[in-house]
Amino acid sequence: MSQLGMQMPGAQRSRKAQPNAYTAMMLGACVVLAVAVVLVGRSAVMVAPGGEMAKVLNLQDPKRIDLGKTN
Amino acid sequence: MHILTKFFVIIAAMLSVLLAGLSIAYTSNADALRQNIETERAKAQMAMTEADTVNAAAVEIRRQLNTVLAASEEDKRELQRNVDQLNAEKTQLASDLKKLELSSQGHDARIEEFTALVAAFLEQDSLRSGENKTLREKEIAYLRKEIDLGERINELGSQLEVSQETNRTLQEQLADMRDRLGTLQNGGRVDVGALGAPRAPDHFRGVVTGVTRDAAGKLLVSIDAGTNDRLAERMKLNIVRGSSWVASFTLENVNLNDAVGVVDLSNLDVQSGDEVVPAELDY
Repeated sequence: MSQLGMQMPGAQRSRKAQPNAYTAMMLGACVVLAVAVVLVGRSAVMVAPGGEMAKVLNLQDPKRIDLGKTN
Repeated sequence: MHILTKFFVIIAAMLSVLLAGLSIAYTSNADALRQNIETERAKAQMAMTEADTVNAAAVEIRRQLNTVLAASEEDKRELQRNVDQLNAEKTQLASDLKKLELSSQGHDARIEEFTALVAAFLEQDSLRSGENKTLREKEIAYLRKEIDLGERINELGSQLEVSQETNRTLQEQLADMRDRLGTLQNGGRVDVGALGAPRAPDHFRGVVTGVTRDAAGKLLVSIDAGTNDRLAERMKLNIVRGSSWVASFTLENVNLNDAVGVVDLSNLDVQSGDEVVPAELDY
């Protein structure tokens, strides 16, 4: 069909998007977000129930705080 | 938009969502943890306060216990002094006991000596008792013999007096016979009456002790007098009762303190206890 695109009436030549500044900014944002996720994740793991990464998004029971193994 | 941009946007959105979730979880857990920490701090503070109170009480108790301990130490020293004193007294008593045991042994020896001495004295005493008994028996025998001899002497004395009385009576009769012979020689008459019968003493008094009859039917009277009362055979006596004459009897058998006679004449029945008087006496 791409072979026919240029032959169809009214067809114009499509212009492919090129990586631009926004791409770079998004890349930077992703990188920063990734770094933030990593840093916050490490802190969240410290206060997560049981100290387990799998429960990093779980909330502690106020009546029974479990920090897992602590150094 | 480039596909990489879209990709990065999606990644960014996902990372944003993840970051938001992590932030929420982290914040909530941090709050819970902080509250827990605050609670624990409060508990710790209370525990500290209680510990301080307990510590103060323990200090007070310790102070009291120290006081008690000091007093106990003092008591212990006092008791130790008493123990030492008692040990010294015990040693002294043991020494005294030893001395007493030694003296007791000496006393036991002396006691044995005394026991032997007492046994010897008892033996001597028993021998002396035997000798005394023998001597007393001999003395009693001698006394009995003396009494017998005295009675015999009294009896002989009575017989002697009776003999003397009889001799005197015979002499009187002889003198009377000589007078009568002289009278006959001179041609006179002589009244031959009852001659030779002895007379009882005027002061004699006796009692009838028994009344019997012999085989021949004669009435026999026993009285409580004999040769000791100067009675003799063929003496005539009267039996009276009060102022009444009962009977007359003649002595046939005269012993030392009793006599038996035959009733010659009787007015009343003779009874035991009736009085006996000389025949010539006015009653």
